[in-house]
Amino acid sequence: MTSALDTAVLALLDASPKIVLWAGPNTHLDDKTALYDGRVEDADDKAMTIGAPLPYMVFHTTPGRPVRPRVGRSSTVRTVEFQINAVGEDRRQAKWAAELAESILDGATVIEAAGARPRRITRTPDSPYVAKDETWTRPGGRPLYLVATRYVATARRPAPTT
Amino acid sequence: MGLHFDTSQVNRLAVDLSEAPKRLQFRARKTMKRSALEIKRRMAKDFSGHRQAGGVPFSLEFQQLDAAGFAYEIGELDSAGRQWGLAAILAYGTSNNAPVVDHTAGLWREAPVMAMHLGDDAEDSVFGGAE
Repeated sequence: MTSALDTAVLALLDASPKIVLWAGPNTHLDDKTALYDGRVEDADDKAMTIGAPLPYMVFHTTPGRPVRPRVGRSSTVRTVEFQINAVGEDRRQAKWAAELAESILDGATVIEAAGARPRRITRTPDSPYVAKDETWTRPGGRPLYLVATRYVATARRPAPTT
Repeated sequence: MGLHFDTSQVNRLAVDLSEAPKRLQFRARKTMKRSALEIKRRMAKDFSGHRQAGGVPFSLEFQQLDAAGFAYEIGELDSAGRQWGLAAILAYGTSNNAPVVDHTAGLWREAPVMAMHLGDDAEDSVFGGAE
C-alpha cells in the first residue's frame, strides 16, 4: 500500500494553495512552490546545476517498514517513512518551504484506501539543520540551500496474539 | 549527521525503580552503552560499499550525552574530519538526489534487543539476579 500512501501525501500537499505538484513542463507555477515527486525538472546531471524555479520541494519515499518496535511498547506499529527536501536560494527560503510542508503534514491523517486504517503523519526528530548543498548549484554558480525533513506515517494495529 | 533517540522512558523507569533493592542505573547504563556501540556497528555496515564515500563507515562515532549514561548520539560527529558531510548526503540526499542509506535502520534492528535487555535489567533490580 506504500504507493497509495505516496499518492495520498502528494495530494495532501498539492491541496495547499501555496503548492503545486509538478506534472510536466505545462504545469503553471504562478506564485506557488513546485513539488517534485522524486526528481527535479530542469536539472543538468553533467554540470550539476538546477535551473528549476525556487523554492521547491522534492518528495522521496521508502518501501516502508512493516514493524517498528518501540522501547516500552507492547503493540507493534506499522510505519511508512518519507522525506521532503525543501530547497531555496538561501537559508531563509529553504526553511520557509520546509516549514510550509511541515505545517501541512505534521499531525495530518491520511487514508490510503477505503477501509484502510488511517495513518497519522509525524515529523521525526532526527532531521538535520539547513545546509548548503555541496553537490548541486544554480546554473550561474550560486549556491542552493536544503532542509531535509523526515516523516513517518503510522497506523497502529493490535499486538499479535499467540 | 547524528542520530538521536528518545530515552526518557528509561530515565522514568530508573526513577520508578529508585527504591528497588538494586539500582537499575548501573545495569541500564551498561545496556545502553552496549546498544549504542551495536547501533554504530550496524550503521557503519549500512554506510559501507559506496565508491565515493569509502571513509564514511570509519568516521562514525558514538558519544554519551547525559550524566546518567542513558542517552547517546551516534553518527558522523565533530571529529569526522574530511569525511564530514558525506554521511549526511547519503542519509538525507541533496537538492536533487534521494537518500541512499537508511541511517535509522540499525537503531530499529537493535531496539527490540535493547528493550529486552532493559526489561531484564529492571527485573534484576527488583528481584535480584546473577551479577
